[in-house]
Amino acid sequence: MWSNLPFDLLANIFSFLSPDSLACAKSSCRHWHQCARYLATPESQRRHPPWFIALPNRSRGLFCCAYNPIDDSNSSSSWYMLPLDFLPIPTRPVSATAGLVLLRSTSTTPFQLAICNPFTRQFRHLPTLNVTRINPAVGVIELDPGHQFGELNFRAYVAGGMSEAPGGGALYEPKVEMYDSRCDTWKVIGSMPVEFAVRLTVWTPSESVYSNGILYWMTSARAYSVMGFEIATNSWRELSVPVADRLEFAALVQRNGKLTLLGGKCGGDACIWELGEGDVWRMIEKVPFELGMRFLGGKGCWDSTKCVGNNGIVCLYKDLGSGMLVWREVVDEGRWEWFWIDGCCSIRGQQLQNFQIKGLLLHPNLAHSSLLNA
Amino acid sequence: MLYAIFGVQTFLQRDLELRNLSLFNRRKGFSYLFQKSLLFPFSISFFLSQGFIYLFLLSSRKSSSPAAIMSSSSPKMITLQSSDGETFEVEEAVAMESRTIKHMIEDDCANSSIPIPNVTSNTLTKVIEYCKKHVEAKSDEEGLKSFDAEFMKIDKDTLYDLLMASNYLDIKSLLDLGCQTVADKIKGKNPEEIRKEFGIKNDFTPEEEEEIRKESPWVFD
Repeated sequence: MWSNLPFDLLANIFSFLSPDSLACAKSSCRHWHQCARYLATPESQRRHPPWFIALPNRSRGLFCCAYNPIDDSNSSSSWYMLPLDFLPIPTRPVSATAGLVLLRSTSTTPFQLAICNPFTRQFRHLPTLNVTRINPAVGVIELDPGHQFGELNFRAYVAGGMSEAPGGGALYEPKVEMYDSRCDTWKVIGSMPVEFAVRLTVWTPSESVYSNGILYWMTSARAYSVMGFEIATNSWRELSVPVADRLEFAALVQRNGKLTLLGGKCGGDACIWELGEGDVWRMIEKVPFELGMRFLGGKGCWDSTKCVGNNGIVCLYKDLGSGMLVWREVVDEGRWEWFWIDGCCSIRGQQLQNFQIKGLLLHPNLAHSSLLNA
Repeated sequence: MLYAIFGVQTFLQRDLELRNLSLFNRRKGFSYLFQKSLLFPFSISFFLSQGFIYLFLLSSRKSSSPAAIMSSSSPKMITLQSSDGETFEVEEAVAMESRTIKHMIEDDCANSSIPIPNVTSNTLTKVIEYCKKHVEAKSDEEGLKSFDAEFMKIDKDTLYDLLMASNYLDIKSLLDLGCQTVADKIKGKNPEEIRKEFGIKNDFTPEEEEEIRKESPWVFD
C-alpha cells in the first residue's frame, strides 16, 4: 500500500522532509528510492533552511562536516560527517551554487574548476578555460531552475590571474571568461582594466558575492575595498568599505537581494552594513557584545574570522572546533535574531581533530544528476 | 392565453381586410396609400410581437422553478456519488474546493450527480467534512489550524485513503496537510523504523543494501 504510492504524491511527501529524514526514507524500499533519486522538488528548498557545510581548507580532505539547522532526530549531534573519498584529485572549495560545491584543483598548475555533490557522491571536471592562467578570482551566479529535470543551472566567471606572456614571463590576465552550465563551455566575454586584474590576482582570498546583477569581490590591498563587475554592461568599478583602515576582518554576503558587509574592528566591535542607493553603506546592526566576546574566545582579535551568508542566514565562523555565530531571519516575522552554535568536536562518538575550514551554505540535494557523471 | 392571442389576431386581420377593401372601394389617392402603408407595417409588427410574447411564455414555463425565483436566498446543491453507491448532497461552494469537481461543473458535465469512482463513502464523508469546515471558517486561521490537527488524528489506513482521494479530487490544502502528516511520521526514524511504521517490505537485495549504505553513509552510523 504505502510502498506503492504514485510518484507525484510521494515526491510531495518527500518535499516536506529535511535531507537527513529523506536519506532514511529513500533507503526503505526500491519504489521510494527511485522516487527520491530521480525527483527533486523545488518546494523542498523553500521549506527547509540551507545546511552549513564545513569543508577542509587544505588539499586532500577525507571528509567534510555538515550541520543540520533543524534537528528532528533524537541524536545529540546535529553534525554529520560526509566522506569526500569520491573526489579523484586534491581540491579546494570555492563556493556553493545550485546544490553543488564548486572546487578548484590544487594538483594541476593551470587553473581548473570542478563541481561535486557531497550528498550524492558525484564529481565532474568543468572543461578547461580558453585562456590558461593561475590564481584568478572566481565568481558564481545561480540561474533560475530550468524546465528540464537534472539540468545544472549556474554560471561561473573567471577574472584576473596570471598567464604566460607571449615572449615568456608572466602577465596579469585581463580577459574575463564565463562558463554556462547549460552549454557546458567557456567563453571569453570581455576584458578588464589591468590594475583590477592585478588586485584580483594578488589580493582576493575569498569568492564573490552576487547581488543585483553585479559580482562583488572583497579585496584587501592594504585597506579593504570592494570590486564590482556589472555583468550586463561588462564594466568594472570600485567601492570603498566603511572604516576600512580600522577593520581586522571584512566579508561580503548577499542578504535578501542586498549586498551586506560584515566587519570586525580592532577592539572587539563588529558591525554590519548594507549597500543602499548610490553605493552608500548604511550600518544596520551590531554584533551583540556578549556573543562577540564568546566568539573571539578572549583573544579580542577578529583576524581568523570568516563569513558566509545567503538570503536569510549569515554565519561567522573560524574553524571546525570553534563555535559559530549565526544571524538568522525569523520566517514570516521579518526580524532577525542571533544564535550561537557550538563547534564540532565529535560526531556520533567519534572524536574529531580541529582543522581549518571553508564554510558554505548549501541546500542538500539528494537527487542524482545524470549530468554529473564524469 | 394562446387562443386569446389567436382570436385577437384573426379579428384584427379581418378588420384590416375589411378596411383595405373599403379603402380600395372608396377612393384611390395619396391618403389611401398613406393609410395602407401605415396599416401594413403595423400589422406585421403586431404579429411579430405576438410571436415574441408566445416564445417568451414558452421558455419561462420550461425553466420556471422555485429555485430560479428564490436563487438569491438558497445555494445550489451538487450531488456526489461514492464508489459504493452512496450519494452526498453538498453546497456548490464546498464541492468546488476540489479542482477536479470544479472543472466538471465549469465544463457543464455535472448535471445530475457526479460519480467519484475511486473514493468510498467513508472517505468521501471525511473529505466533505474537511471542505465544509474550510469554506465555512475561511478567515479563522487559528480555528482552522486546530481543526486540521484534530482532523489528522486518524489511523494510517484512513490517512492513506484521504491522501489518494485528495490527490484524485485535487484538493491542494487537504493534500498538503496529508503529506505533511505522513512526513511527520517519517521524521526522526531510521530506515528500519520507517518500514515498520508503514508496513513496507525491504525489497533490496543484500548487494543493493550495501550500495544504499555507501550512498548515504552519513546517516548510517
